[in-house]
Amino acid sequence: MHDKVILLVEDNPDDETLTLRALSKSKILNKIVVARDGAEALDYLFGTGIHDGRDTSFQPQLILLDLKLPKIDGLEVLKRLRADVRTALLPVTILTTSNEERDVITSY
Amino acid sequence: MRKWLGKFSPLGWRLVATTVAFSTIVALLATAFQLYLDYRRDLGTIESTLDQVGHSYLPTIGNALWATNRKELQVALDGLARLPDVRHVAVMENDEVWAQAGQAKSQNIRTRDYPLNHVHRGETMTIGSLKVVMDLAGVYQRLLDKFWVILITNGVKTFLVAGFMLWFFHWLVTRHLQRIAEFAARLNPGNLHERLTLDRPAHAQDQLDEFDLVLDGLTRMQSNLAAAVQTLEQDIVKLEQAESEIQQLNTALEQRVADRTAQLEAVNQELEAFSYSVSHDLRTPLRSIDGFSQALVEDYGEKLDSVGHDYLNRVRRAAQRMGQLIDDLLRLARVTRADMSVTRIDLSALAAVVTEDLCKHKGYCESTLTVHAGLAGRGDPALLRIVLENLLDNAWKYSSKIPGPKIELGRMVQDDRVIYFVRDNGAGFDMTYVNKLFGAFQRLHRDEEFAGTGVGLATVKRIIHRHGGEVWAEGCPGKGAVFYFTLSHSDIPEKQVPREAAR
Repeated sequence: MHDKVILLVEDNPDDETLTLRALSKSKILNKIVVARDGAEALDYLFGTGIHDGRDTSFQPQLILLDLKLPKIDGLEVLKRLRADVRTALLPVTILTTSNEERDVITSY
Repeated sequence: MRKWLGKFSPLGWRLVATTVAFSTIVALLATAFQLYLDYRRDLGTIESTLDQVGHSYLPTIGNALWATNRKELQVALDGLARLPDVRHVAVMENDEVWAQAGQAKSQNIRTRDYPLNHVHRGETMTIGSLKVVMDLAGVYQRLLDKFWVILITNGVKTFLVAGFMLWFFHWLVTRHLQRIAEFAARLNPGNLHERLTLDRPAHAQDQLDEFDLVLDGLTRMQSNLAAAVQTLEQDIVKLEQAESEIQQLNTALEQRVADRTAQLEAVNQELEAFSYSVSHDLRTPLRSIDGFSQALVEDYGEKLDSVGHDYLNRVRRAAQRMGQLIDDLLRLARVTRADMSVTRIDLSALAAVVTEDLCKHKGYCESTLTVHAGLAGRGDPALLRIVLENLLDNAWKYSSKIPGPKIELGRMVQDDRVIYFVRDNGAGFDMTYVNKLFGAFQRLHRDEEFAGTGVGLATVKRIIHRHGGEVWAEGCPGKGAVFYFTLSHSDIPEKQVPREAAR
């Protein structure tokens, strides 16, 4: 199951708990890695910082990405991982309650 | 100057030419009359000579002829021929010349025949006739001589008078006129106080002439002009001051506009940031409240009794309502700052789309709505869609509890204004509270009666105001309500709009 990781990028512990509960209720048993902010998520994806030395040939099956994050926000994370060949094709789901049109448009 | 005045024809020359022509005509007429009188006098002299011949010579010649005294007859005839102007005399007897003196001539002559009578034994008998031919050439020659003398003296006199007149007219009039013309041409606002003097002999105050009038008039005109120029200069100074004041005011105004615009932009940006933060941050705790309430119901539901379930449902409903309020508030804010693109809109078609949407999402599907066909207007399609959504949603909502609900979307023209309306026969409202109707979060019904946040009509009002229109309502409890609105861009009824402007 090592290669079936889901990366959850979420700074709010409440949302994290609710997301994890929803996933387990949906019988999704993949390993879930949680990043608390954008920088940590990028560290994980590119094997830098606290995730130094991680084998970056293994990438998550899915990234659940919150938009409003400390340090580096979700849209910036999205931009950077789309710009890198290792992560450009990863499926990303944006988690947001924003009704702002510009957020939706920018995400595409 | 002469060039643009055209051919220059000096007054002096014209005066002299006219005078000479006139005096020549008069002189010729007078001469002709005088010559005629002389001619008559000369002719009179000739006639009297002829009369004299009749008296003095006839008896002598008659006796000489009777006596056939040729010698005496010839002497008498020779004496007769020596009289002035007598050209030829002849004594005729039965058309035969018996004796004659002088030379015959056929032109310019005056001829008179006298009968020669002789009284013999108391009986008068005609023995012949005397023919006297007077020569008129002398008369004509004297007339011609006189004509030439008169002509030459008149010509010389006229020439001298003309020359004198020319000089005198120049000295008296034209030199001054030229000076006045040069002075007037030289006048400009800078030398208005210069005075014109004419080189004329001094004359008394009671002997003023036309030039004094002209000088006086010119002086007055100069002082009037000077006053006018002064007024104009003052006006110009005032105008320049006013202009510079306006310039300053404009600059200040532009500065203020720029400042205000910058402030507005800053406020707008703050508002945007605020809205974004509201939409994200206020919603996050709500999500936790709703999410964990749901988790509690699902995971620990069996440990709660019905009261506990009721409490949890109330918590969830409250959280969801809060979410709805936030959504509506954001929508109201967005309506205020969204860019407007005004185009021609078919409100009837828009209403059809909105109705379909309401049916799909809210279940308002009963065909109780009547939409007038061809409701055209000008406005922003997205914003007007929100208006129709709110008004039709309200109409449906407030008429949902009565049997036979009827909703109508239409248009009428009043005082050259196009007014759109949405009419329903639902719950209506008390006109006492009509001014609360369009305030944000203001409601006339409790949530249990009709659900709502009280933002819909506030949104409608903002949109209509942004279109430069008005919105108002009429209602009666239990009898329904009518909501009216206008769009400034379509205030002129269709039929009055010229073809080109309607395109």
